[in-house]
Amino acid sequence: MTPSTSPSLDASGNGSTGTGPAARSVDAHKHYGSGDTEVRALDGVTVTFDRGEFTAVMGPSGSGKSTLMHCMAGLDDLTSGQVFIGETELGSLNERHLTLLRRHEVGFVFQAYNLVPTLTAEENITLPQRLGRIPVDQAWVDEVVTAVGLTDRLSHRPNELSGGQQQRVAVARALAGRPEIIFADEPTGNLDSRTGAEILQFMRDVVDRYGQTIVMVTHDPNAAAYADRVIFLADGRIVQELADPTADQVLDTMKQLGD
Amino acid sequence: MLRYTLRSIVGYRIRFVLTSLAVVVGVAFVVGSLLISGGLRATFEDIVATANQGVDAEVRGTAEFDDGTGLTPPIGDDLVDAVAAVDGVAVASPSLTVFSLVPIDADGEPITSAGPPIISVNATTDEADSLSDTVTVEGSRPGPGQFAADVDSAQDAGFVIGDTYDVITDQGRRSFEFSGTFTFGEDNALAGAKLFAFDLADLQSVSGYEGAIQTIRVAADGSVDPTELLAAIGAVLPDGVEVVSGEQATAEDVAEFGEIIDIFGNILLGFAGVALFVAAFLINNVFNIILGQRVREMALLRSLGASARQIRISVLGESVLMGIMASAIGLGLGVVFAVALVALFDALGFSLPGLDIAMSPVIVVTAFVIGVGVTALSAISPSRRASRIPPVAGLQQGHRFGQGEGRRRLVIGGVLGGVGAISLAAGLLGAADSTSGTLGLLVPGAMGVFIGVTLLSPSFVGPVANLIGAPLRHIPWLRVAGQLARENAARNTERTAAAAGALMIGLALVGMAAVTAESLKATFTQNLTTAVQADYFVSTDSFQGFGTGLAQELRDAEEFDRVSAFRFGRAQVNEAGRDVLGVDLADLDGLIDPDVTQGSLADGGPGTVALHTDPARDLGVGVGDTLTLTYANGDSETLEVIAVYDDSSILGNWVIDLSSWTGSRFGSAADLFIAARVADGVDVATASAVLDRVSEEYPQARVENQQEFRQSQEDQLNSLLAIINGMLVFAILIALLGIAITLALSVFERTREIGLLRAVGALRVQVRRMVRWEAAIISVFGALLGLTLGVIFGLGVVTALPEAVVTTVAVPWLTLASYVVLAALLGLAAAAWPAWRAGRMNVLDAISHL
Repeated sequence: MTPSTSPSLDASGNGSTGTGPAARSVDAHKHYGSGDTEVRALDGVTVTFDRGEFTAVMGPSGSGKSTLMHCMAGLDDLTSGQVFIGETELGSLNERHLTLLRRHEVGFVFQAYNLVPTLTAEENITLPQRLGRIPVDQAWVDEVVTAVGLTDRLSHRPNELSGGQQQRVAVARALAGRPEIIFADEPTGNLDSRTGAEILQFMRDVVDRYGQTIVMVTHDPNAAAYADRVIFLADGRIVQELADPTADQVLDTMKQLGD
Repeated sequence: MLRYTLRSIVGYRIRFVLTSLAVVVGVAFVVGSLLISGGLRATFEDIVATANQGVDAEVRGTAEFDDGTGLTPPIGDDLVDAVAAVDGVAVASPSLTVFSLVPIDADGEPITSAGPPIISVNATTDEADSLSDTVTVEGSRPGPGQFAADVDSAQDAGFVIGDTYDVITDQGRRSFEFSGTFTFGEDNALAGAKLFAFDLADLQSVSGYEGAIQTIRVAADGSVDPTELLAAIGAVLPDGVEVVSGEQATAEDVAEFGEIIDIFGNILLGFAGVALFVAAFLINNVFNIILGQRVREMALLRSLGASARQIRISVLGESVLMGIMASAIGLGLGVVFAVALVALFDALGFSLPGLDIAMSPVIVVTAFVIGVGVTALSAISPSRRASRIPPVAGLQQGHRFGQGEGRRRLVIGGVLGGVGAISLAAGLLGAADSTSGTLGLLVPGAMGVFIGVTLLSPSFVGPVANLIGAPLRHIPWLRVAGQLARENAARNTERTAAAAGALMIGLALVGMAAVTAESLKATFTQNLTTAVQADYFVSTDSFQGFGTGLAQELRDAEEFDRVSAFRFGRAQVNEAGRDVLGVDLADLDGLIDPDVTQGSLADGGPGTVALHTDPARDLGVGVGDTLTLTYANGDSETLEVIAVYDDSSILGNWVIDLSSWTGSRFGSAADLFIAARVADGVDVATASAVLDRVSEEYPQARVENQQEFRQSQEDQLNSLLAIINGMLVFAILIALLGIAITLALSVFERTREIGLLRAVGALRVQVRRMVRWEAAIISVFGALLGLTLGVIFGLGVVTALPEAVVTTVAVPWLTLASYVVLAALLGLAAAAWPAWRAGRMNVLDAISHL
């Protein structure tokens, strides 16, 4: 199953122990259409996500932040340029190897519909490993489950869980395979602010405690404030960066960019 | 609202077309059946019209009762001259038709026919040419010692004019010179039958009709009023002979063929009905699913001011338009279907050549009424559900279509299933005394059971689907896909139940046929081992039998100590028609053991009869008493009862000695079957060699020992079973189409979920497996339900069949198990397309799908 060309696609999914950045893009372009109607969703994005770093990606609608995430995660392909997960260049992978890469090296948290409704919380958490017939690291899963406070909810189906609980299951799933990188697409967008804060704090803890790399797309300044760094996108380009941001700084920057 | 209806058809066109397919297939089946029976009817009407052209009156023997042979009792050929002498008669021509002659072709092989008969008639004389239904093509009409053949048969057989060929007759082989060829009517439209002509005297002598004929065909010269002519002819006829007009004779012949064609056509229509019933299930399910996916749309319409009634009518309108379109296509496809069905029957050995497939307005109207009717009926309950969607459902998440109907469904299902089962049981146990009455109980009963079980099955489909899918857990590469498949199958119970229900219907009928056939086989095997002591059997596929010579040669051979021929016919006792078996009664003892309770078969001989305990009790007769039998030609004979027996499975109720059996009494005196026992001290090889030598003269005879005989009987049952299954294939195909559509719609509904699976690392092949195995689980569920019902129905049929037909109940478990496996495979195949679509889904689009 593991492509021989990419040593980082090791079945243990234990890529975070490697050296170098967890993911990066080099002059990434993504264009839709052609001629007058051409839309440049990504227009030369070069960015590096270091190991153990929590990055927030912000920008107005249509700025390309979701496109960047999709292309980095192997869900979409670039028009030109390169993206890497670990040492693996995604453009060189075919559909099957991209799927395996997502299974082993990438964790996902979406805004909603994160879980397969017919599976229990526990089955959802270990779904990527079970899809790959990889032995589940039960001690690690137990630790993650305890950390997200789901121990007594494991046998429940998604429709028996609250929205916050569902997102926690999603985060636990993203963590369970110890991926190189986790992409979170507005993970708190559908939650009330208190539940959202819980999830964000949990993600922060995961980065601090386990050195997990997380990239989160958001347009909530309060959410971005949990990150180590904020990248601002506009018209498919990176226009600003903030390190160790506060919510106010983020809001100010957004206002500047909006002008 | 009409505009909305049309728009939604266009908007959902793929589903619309797929759903229509089921109706298309059903309507095509109906149209095909009607075309074939209409074509057959037209063909036979042509044949009868050709045969009777120019006939103004027909003189024939008066049958005492309908003996089922379709032949009238013989009349003396001396009547021809008497009739010809009547004033107003231009020509009177004798007519004799015999079915037992088999000419040998130029290669030395007996001429065979797959279904249609081999007919031998007397050649019309030149004077009676106006009454002839044939036209000479080459050579001449046959004189004494000669025969002629229709052009097609002559060509097939390679007959050359002037050469001599053998003909197998009731009296053994005879040689005849080939005199010429002819056409039947202008076009030789014989529908596959083979027609041979002989000189009258020759035909009489080889068929046991010495001095006798069947009818006299009369042409009038026009000088006398037709009614007066009939009266004048009647005046010269003796008792037991009557005259009818040419029109009446034609009408009677047409009616007789019509009955047979109607039975055939109704059987085809029955299978078409099953296919349509399955189609109705499918349409109902698809409408429910589609409307379920459109809840928000309906709610929006409601909140914009559409009334519940408008919603209902819009949905029904969609179904009517679908029905119209499907009927139109089905009508066209029906023609193709009819042609294909003719070819299928041809391949199975039931030749129906020369069929004129002609569309009629009646068929067109029938197609539309049935197609639109079935579609609209199936859409009624979904349309009512749709009309009950509250406007607020558009704002709420998770309004389920058909919410809160679970209890009602259980009640309706229980009532329908229960009433259906009672009606079925009543029909099987003979509560109605007519065929139509019994069908009137059986058909709605079965439909009730099917609908009832389908309505009840959502309450247990979940656990059962889990159980069916459980083995997948142990296949490493199917663990996850298998689990998802299982959960998906168990998730929308009503939908799974409906998809499986359609398959259930087909397999219930398949299962019923299998159990019935297996029981018949087991009964037959048991009878053969307990009641039959004969070592060899000689039988034939042809209705003609093999004359009387073969049995006589075996009786004369000292290698056999017991030999009996078997003939089947009807006679009257106490004014009631009875099926009578003719045998060598004295020899029967030692060949068949019918469990004699009184008297002894060994006392049998000329003038004796043996009968079953039931008629013996009804008539109040015992051994030593006498009974008077009346035959079709009016002869009466008093016979002495020599034995009463208990087992009617082989002999039936009435057995008489062959000495009482003549062609004129029973229409035919040809042996249809012979049983023989090898004499003590003769080894099997010797006996077998004798049989082979003797039967060489009779190419149509098939010699079998007990085991071979049993095997060939089983083969016959198996091929009948294959035909029934073949007819049910259409219903099963529609059901599989239903599973495919249901899954395609489910896949569409679960786009977001499939996208998620793909995002977190499910390979395309895993997604495809998930969909395919869901289909397999649904199919197996449907098959198990269907076969369970089928076994119950089958046991009911076996119980209801008379003891003479079946005494042993047997269930072919292995066959049934193989049907379940087959259903799983077909399910996997049916899901190929939805699985492909699911696998091909763009992950990004799927994730952002709402």
